[in-house]
Amino acid sequence: MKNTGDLMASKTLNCFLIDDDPDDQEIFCMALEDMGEDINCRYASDGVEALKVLNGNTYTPDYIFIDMNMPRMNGNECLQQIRTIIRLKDVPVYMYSTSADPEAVAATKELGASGFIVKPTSVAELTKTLHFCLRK
Amino acid sequence: MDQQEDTAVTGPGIRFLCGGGEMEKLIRAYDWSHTSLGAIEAWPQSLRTAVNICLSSPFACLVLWGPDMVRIYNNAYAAMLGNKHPALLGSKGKEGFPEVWNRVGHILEAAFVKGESGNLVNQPFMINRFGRDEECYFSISISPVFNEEGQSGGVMLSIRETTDLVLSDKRLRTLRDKQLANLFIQAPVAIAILRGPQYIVETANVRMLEVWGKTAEQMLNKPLFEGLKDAAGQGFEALLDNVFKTGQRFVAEEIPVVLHRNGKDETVYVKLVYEALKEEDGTVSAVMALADEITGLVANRKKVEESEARLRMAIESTKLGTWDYSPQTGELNWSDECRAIYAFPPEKEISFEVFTEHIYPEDREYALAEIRKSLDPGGKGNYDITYRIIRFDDQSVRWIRATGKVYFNQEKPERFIGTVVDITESRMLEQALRENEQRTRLAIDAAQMGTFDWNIKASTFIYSDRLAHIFGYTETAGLVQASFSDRIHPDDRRTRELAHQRSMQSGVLFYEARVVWPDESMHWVRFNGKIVYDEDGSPFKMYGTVLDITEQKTMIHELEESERRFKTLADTAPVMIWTSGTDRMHDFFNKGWLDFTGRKVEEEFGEGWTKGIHPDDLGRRMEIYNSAFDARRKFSIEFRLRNSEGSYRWVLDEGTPRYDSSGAFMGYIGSALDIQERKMAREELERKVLERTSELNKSNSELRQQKEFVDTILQSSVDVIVVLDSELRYVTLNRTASELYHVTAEEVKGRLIVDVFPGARTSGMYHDLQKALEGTTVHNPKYRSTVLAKHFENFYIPLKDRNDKVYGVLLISHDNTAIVDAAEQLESTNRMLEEKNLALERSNRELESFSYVASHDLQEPLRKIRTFSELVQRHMNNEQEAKKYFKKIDSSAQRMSELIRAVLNYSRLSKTDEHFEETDLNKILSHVKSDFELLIAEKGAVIKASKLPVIKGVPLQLNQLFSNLIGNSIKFSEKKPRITITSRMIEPGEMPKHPDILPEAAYVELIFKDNGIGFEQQYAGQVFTIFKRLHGNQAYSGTGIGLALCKKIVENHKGFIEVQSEPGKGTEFFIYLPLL
Repeated sequence: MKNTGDLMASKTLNCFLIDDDPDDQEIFCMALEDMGEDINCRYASDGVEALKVLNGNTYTPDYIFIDMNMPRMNGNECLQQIRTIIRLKDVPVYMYSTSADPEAVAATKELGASGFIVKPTSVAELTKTLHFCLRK
Repeated sequence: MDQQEDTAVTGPGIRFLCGGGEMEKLIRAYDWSHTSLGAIEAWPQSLRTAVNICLSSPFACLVLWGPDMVRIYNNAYAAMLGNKHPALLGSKGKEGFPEVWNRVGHILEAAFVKGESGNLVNQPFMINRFGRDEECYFSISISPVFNEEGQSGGVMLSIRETTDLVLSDKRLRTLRDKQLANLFIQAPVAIAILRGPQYIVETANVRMLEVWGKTAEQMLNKPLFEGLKDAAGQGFEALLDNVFKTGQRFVAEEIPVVLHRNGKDETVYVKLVYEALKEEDGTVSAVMALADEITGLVANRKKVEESEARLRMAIESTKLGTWDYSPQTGELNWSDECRAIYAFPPEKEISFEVFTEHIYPEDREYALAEIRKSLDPGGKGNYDITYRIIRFDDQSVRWIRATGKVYFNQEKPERFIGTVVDITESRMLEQALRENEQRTRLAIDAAQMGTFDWNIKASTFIYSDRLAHIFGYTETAGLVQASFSDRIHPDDRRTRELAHQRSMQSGVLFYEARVVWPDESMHWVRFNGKIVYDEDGSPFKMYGTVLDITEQKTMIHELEESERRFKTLADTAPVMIWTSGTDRMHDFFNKGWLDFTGRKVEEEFGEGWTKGIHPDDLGRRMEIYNSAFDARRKFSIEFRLRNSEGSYRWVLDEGTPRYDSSGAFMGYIGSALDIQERKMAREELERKVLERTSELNKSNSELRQQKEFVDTILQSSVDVIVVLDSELRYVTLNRTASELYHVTAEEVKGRLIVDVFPGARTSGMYHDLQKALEGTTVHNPKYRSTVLAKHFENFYIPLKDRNDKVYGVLLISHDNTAIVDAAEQLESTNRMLEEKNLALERSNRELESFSYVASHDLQEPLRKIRTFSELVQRHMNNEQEAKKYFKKIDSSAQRMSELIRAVLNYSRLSKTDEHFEETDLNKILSHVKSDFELLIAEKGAVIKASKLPVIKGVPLQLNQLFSNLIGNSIKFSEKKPRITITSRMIEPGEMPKHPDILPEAAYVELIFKDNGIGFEQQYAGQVFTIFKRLHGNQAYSGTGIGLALCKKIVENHKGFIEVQSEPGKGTEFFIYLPLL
């Protein structure tokens, strides 16, 4: 993969996606690949599993994406838990969902979300959105 | 007796028997030889002297002689004896007179034996002398008489009957205590009070009016001599004037007065006392006249005198008739003198029958019996009778004395010869004499006289013991005349002197004087004396009597006092007082009366006062008075009487008959009271009462109308109206109440409300009634009668009287059951609406969240389809890649259609119009099992179920419930699914706590248990939330709607669902459905 921007020149970006839907994981992965950057992506299928990974102290992603609707632990809960981890306090966490109810969006901001990404109907669109997010 | 007179013998030996009248003759004729005294000729001098004194005494005197106490007494004593005389003469002590002897015998015997004198005063005796026992009083002085030997020969008694005195004394005492007026009226003497120099007759008692022969009207309140014109000019004026001027009493023993009585002029003899009545200052204001008519006495005496003359003439002129009767032949020959006595004409033939006819009828039987007796051969044939005849000519009655002798021949009356003489005159004389004696006795009976015999020439003074006693001497012997005169009160000595001087001329001594006893007591004594003259006409001796008249004096004094007291009393009495006499005439009016009428008492006397009666009342007053008077009843009447100002005033006049102490009716005493004010007040009151009554009647009728009006309102009211009293007893209730409670006003009236309706005590109504009784008006808009199952709006209104005191409660009950029911209906409808609203809201909310969630979940497969479609285009050239994305597209579309179906199912549940029916859960289960037949076989699942109940429910929903639960259990399983379904009934109260539980209902518990993957119990609250999936897509497919649907279905059946789970072990669903 070729770097398309200066900012990623030196380092590989680590993205951590927490989503129970395997289709969405695949789509998210395709969108990252389309960015042409050196991005490493890791997946967790729900919040419980994700926290297990994050609390392990060995993996510190650069960006975290959390699906809102998940069994066992939903996105908001997962976000709250992550925000309690000091090590991850500066890690941007993006909420990731099919629908974006403005109230729900506001609530995630309150809980410490860095942004809210509506799941797109095309991979290209998602690539564009991720560009915007990762450039920050 | 006549015989004795005729045959009177006077021998020298019995000369001591003199001047003794009848007794002299009786003693003379008595055969004393049969007594212990022996023949009269041989009596000792002492006895003769005693008898002499006895017979010559004008007072009752008795000599008891010898140890036998043989009686000899004088005329005066005989007169007292009644029918005991003459049998008592010559009788012995106790034998003759036991009733007296029992009382005083021992005193007399003591006097005889011991020679003691004694004195008994006013001793009561019960004596039978007129055929009946009567109470008599006697004063007796007892003196022993000594014989020639100086021993006790006998006892001499001077007896005075004091019955009248004692009785009048008693009467006086009674009167003092009783009505003073009666004393005046009933005084045994005639009394009048003559007021002022005109001698106005202020008062006169009946006796005085009798003496005057006038009525009260004729005399009262008029000058004496105006009413008694006939007595004017007879010297009384001067006498009265003297008394009035000097204040000195005038006393006359016997004064003739010519009065016009009984329609003719009569000479009346009176014993007269004029007594000055002095005022407190000593001036004489009136004269009290006391008179005792002694006309009868005087007339008798005069008659005796006349008779004596006539007797002499009669005896001289008496013609003795002779007759000769032959009982055998009936031949009767009368001499001319005899015929003259009978006044038969010479030609008149005289037979025994004619003789018999002319015997006075009352005497006829007696005369004929005497004749028969004489003709009886067994008798002596002596005939001597006195009888009355009726003269032939003038039918006058004459007394006849007939004497005769029958000559018998061989035991048969042969000839009856005799004389007849007219003794009418002597017979009458004798009677007159007897009457005179009696009267004299009566006159002096009342006296207890001492006697004296004063020899003027010899200056000897012989006196009786009584006289000494009267002068206060207890020792009677050895007194001289001066002993007596010295005791006369110094003020009266002049009177005595003058009387003695007068007596020397008139031959009669009379005066009254006071005698002062050693104990300084004063005694009024009356002296009477008569001078006996010598042959030369000079005074030789004076016989006399002395009488203690203190009592009479006291009585007069008492009378005055009584009269005065009565008058004072009557005059000071605050009422008007009158009295009337037996003649119905009013004879006294007190000052109160006179002040009222303003008239003079003389105007009022008799019927004068009736002029003051209102003409309309006069007849009634007199009628009532007269009828009461006739019946001797009390009366009371109101009438109008004119007062001094000339106006009529109502008075209440009440009269009572009055009686003297002997019970004799005396007239009336009455009082009148001015009741004008009272009467007016009463009339005013009556008028007011009348007015008030008419007002009342009027207002009553108004009230009645009002009451009818109110009753009509009450009865026609559709509200219940009940009136209760202060004890909550029914007073009344109206028709509505009556109909509602099935009681009538009559049944419950007076009964306590709690007695009629025992349940009332615990009801709210009772409490409200009590509050109303405390004075508060209570309004209870919602009262529910449990008895009637009705709703009322109740008003409890205290009924208060004028003083704000609650006397009852008015209960008005308005039946608003219909309104309340409607309101309740409305409320329950509202409640239902509200519930529905809530359900709708809930449904809306659910729908809202559902639509949100649904849009999210439905967007997901749609989004995926679009994304995968893009990827298909991207990989057009790579068939394998393209196929993969087509497959994903198909899967997403499938999921989407599942979701849409589930959503439809869920949304269908929200419709509540599904209707409930009997649903057999066993059938539901077998349906579901057949639906899952393939899956069960594929997974090798085992479903076990106990017998399930039949419940009311919606079969389609219950089918879905079973389907979802069983489907889940099969789906979320790693091993062979084992599913057990059990059910049981739960009684109310045994249910686990749950907010939606219906406490009254029984429940069916259904338990679905599996051995599936389970979940953490902490997620138990989330599993029933729509689109909540606990498991990732990959492992366990699900729409996230199933359990939400189950919950919804259970809730639709008013039940609830709970879950118990453990990861890896399995899940238990508990479903509770109420049995509806």
